[in-house]
Amino acid sequence: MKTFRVSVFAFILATFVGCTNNSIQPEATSVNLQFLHLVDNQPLELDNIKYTNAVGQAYSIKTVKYFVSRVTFHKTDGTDIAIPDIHYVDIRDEATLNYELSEKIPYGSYSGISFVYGLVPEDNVTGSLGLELDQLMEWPMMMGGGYHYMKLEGEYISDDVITFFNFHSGSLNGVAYEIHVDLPNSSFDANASNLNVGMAMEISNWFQNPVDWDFAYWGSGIMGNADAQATVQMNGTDVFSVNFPETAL
Amino acid sequence: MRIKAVGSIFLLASALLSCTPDEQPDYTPTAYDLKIPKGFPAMEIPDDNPMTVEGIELGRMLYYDSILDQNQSRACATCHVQEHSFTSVPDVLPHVNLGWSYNWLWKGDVQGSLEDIMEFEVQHFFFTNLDNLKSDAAYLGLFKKAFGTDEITYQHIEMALAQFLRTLNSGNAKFDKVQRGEAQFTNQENLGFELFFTERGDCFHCHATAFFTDGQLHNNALDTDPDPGHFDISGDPLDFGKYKSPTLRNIEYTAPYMHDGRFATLEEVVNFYSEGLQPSPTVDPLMKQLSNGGVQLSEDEKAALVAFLKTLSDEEFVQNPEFSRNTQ
Repeated sequence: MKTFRVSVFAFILATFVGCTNNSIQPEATSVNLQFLHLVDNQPLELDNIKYTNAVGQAYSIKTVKYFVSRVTFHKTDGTDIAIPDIHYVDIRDEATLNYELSEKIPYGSYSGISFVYGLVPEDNVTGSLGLELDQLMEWPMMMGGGYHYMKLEGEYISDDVITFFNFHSGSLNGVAYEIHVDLPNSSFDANASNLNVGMAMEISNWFQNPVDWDFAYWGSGIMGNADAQATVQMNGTDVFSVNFPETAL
Repeated sequence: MRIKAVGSIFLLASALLSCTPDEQPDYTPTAYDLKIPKGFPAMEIPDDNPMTVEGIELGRMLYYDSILDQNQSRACATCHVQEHSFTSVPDVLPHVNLGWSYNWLWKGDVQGSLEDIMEFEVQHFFFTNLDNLKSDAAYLGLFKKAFGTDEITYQHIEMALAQFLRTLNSGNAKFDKVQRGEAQFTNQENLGFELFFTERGDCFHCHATAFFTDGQLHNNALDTDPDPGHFDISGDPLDFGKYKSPTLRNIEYTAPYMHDGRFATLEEVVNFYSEGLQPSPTVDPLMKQLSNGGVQLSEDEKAALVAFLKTLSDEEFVQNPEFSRNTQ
């Protein structure tokens, strides 16, 4: 009889423990990044020379391709949740404008989000990102190898002549110019199964603050120009802002 | 008793196995060990079409046989001639390193795998009549060896052709030997190399290593009133004048050049990119010297660029007997 009682107690205990185990799974949020592209705080209109930079040159945007990597979520308790993903964005490929990170983040209070615009040297290795990106974003070995961080292309008008510009950034001859972005006003609470993070690129900021970009001065191609790469890096720190839309794009 | 039981199970299993519809005693394909040129990425091969010696041999037979053509008047090799890096006439792209391609034909008519483009070629270009193959005893045997089938289908033809085409890989040109430290560029070739891979000449954006193509479609400023290009496929006005960037590997052997074969020599091509660009609404912004007519190369630079392009010639590839018609 005593044995029976012990057995019943053990069974009930096991049942409760089983239930408890199921219910104490750490709660976590899947994060969906949504990429938005603005000029002068309005949605970008491609292929239209309707914008004006800080030095008075009219310009258009035709191509926006770039890498976002190493997204990191900073908890208020001081711990960081770093996601190892590398994501490629092409404004003309809608499938790239939404991206669910490969790892969830635990519920809790977060003080902010940071990420790398481009690729850190450990990630910037020729041949490591697959055939299509090798071909689309190659940064030739002649200039140090790896990948373009960004291809931003369009037209500008100078002296009444319409000229293409290729605002391409990347690591040049072993010097890395990736941008470590701390998103302003990016604190949030993770307390639901999904979180949408809207990452908005204000394209006009590439061309100002601290350096007003003169297309004619820098020329149409800047890949081999270390000063230009450093300037792009400086101007890029305030290009992104963040919001937390309730619905996915 | 135990022995009897085991024996019974063995007999039963044997009987069941022998009754399966997949029973193909003659089907013993030999796995093919594809050699990838050094410096090339791995090739993705579909799980449902692994490369076999028998499949490749069948694909090779079909490639050179006009039996695929509804009228039996031409074969793949009629237009894709080995000594010209498997091209010949202007509107035919070369068959080289296609195992890494995903955008097909000049206008980007088809996207997908080699099997997908072979489906297009077999069923919508050649309009292959399967009865011609089914009535050929030699092919019945070859399909049996390659795929273990008595029933020849379009899919088997496409798979065999895809297997053969995955072997047509060119990666042993002087350029490759220099990359491997086995050869050196001349001074002129080296200047051409620098022009090619910097924004001075700016060839690399559309002709990226290792395949010397980016696999994409561009309007490269050939005409102020360009041919439709990818517009014919997509209907999108933004695609007007866009054609696939061809590989530059073996470019020395593939004249004439451009989608319409308008340039007879490499010198003419370089002259065009140097000072012959023409504006039109959909020109790719990568043609960033459009407003100057081109990249404005000196005569020495032009000669250097041509010299470099000729380092992409892989003589071994265009003479490899494994890729030629099997005359045995």
